[in-house]
Parts: sequence; structure tokens; C-alpha cells
Amino acid sequence: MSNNNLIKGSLQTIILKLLEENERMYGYEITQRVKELTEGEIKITEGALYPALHKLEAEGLLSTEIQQVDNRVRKYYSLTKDGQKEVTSKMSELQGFVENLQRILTPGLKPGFNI
Amino acid sequence: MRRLSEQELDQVKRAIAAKDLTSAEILMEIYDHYISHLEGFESSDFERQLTELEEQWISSYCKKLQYDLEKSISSSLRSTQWQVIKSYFTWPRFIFTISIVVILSLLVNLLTFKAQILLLFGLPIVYLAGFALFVNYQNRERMSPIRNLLDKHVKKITSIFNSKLTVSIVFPLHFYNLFLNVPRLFGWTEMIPDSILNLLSIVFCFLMVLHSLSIYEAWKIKSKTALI
Repeated sequence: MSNNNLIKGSLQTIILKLLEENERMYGYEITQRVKELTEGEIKITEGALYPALHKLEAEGLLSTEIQQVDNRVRKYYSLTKDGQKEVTSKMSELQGFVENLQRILTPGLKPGFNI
Repeated sequence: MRRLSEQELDQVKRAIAAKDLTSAEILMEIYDHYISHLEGFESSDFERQLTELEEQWISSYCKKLQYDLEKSISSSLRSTQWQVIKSYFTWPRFIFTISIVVILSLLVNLLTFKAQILLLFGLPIVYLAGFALFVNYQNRERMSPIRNLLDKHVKKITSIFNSKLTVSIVFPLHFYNLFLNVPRLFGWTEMIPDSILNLLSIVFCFLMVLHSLSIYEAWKIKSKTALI
């Protein structure tokens, strides 16, 4: 599944979840991690990733750290305290949505699986 | 994973410079993205990979990214400043601050009229001007690695954070010009009576102190992570 519209709606949750697991990451690393985890099925485009990162930073959910790496400057993103709280809420929101979607798509199936 | 040659690095810099961007925040992120991607491929594949990157990072997208970042930095600075003010002004602190302002106003009244105006308007302005200079100096230091990297290729590199913060710092100076200097231009020297001018300067001084302290706190928070 590589429908960009479906991914866009969950992009913030994906970023927050990855940062919860990895402490700090830079933009390109996030795109590669998603590609690796989904075996290339989901590719986050730069067009969607960086605006989402900047928005989360402006909302105070992410903090940044600038570091010199191999003659260039790299910007690392990590979760703030508010960001850590937001992961839980976003995850349960997404889980609820997927369960409801499942109810619509397969009415006979009992909900209760995890994403 | 390999290191790019000087020629390849130069080619990347020229490709990024062609996008006509000025923001250091965006330029450093795009440059790091390009290099991180290209390092994962052999030199024989360099041209193709660079073309692919250029197809994704088209100029209009980069400019939109820069424009959106400007907007989000402005709103982030404003909201941080407002958070600082809100967290400071609990009722006891509010009453304490008002009391200090009243006491200072009474003390200032002992001075001559000119000295009062100079003190109430002058001191916060001197503080803000000094602070703006310090912030710009620090920004210059922090920007130097980015400037050193791209200076030969990109004509103008500025930090959006620094520009927005400087605008915010010097904001009260515009009020000073608007209320005091502009009427003078039209010869309206007596437009504001002295008694009101005195009261106005106390209120103005209070607002300037509030603005200066909150912008300083906002800068302290943001300077930990941004290019300021």
C-alpha cells in the first residue's frame, strides 16, 4: 500500500512514534527508517516530511539540536515532554480509527487488534 | 556509504544555490538531505541520483517550505512569549509588579520632566538595542559553519529565527516613532499634553519592560536549539 493520501493523515503519528523509539533522528533518517520498516512499501516524500517536522516543532512537540557532522550541519529532532504525551494520544486515536475502519470494511470481524 | 568527492560536493552546492533560497535553516536541512542520500550510492550513479533529488526538491516546493517555516517561526515566537508572560503573571506577581511600577513612577516624579521621559523611554530602548546587537552577534557565530559551507554559491544566507526575533525586539521602537517622532514631523509638538505624556511614558515603560523580559525568556528557550 503506497497511497500518499492515506499516509498523509497519519504522518505526524508516524514521526512521533519513530522519535519515541529512537530518541533523536534527522529528516533523511526518518524517510529511510520508514522505508526499512515497511520494506519499501511506504515512502515518505520530502514534500510531506519536512513541513510536518516544522509544524510539530512549532507546536512544541519536537525540539531540535544542531550538530556538525562531516563538514556539514545536521538538524536532529527529538520529542519534548508535550511530544511524549502526544504520542500516546495520537496512537490511541489512530488505533481507534483503524478499528472503526475495520468495522466498516469487514462488518463481521470483531475489533480489538493493535497497530 | 562513501564520501563524496570535492567535485560532487560542488555540484550539489550549485544545485541547491540554484533554488534561490536564503534561509539558513532550510539550506542546511536540504544540503544534509542531499548528501545523506547521495553518500549511499556509487559515484557511477551520482548524476542519476542527483537528478532524482532535483525532481523531488523543485524550487517552488523549497520556496513554499521556506515561506511556511517563516510563518511557523513567527507564530512559535509569539506563542512562546505569550506563554512566558502567562506563566509569570500569577496574581501575587501581577500585584507585586504593579506595586513596583507605581513606586518607581512616584520616585521618577521627583526628577525633572526631561529626565523622567529620558529614563522611562530611554532605558528600555537602550536595553533592547543592546540585546538586539547581542542576539545578532551570537547568530553570526552560529551561522558561520553554514556560511563557510555555502557562501561561495549562495549569495545571501540569513536565519529566519534571527530575523523574526530582531523584528520582535525592535517592535517597541516603532511605537516610539509613531507616537513621538511622527507628530513632531507635522509640527504637532503640543498634541499630547505633558500630564498625559507622563502617564503615557509610565504605561509605555511598563509594556516595554514586559516585552523585553518576555522576549529575553523566549530567546533563552529558542536559543538552545535554533540558530540564534
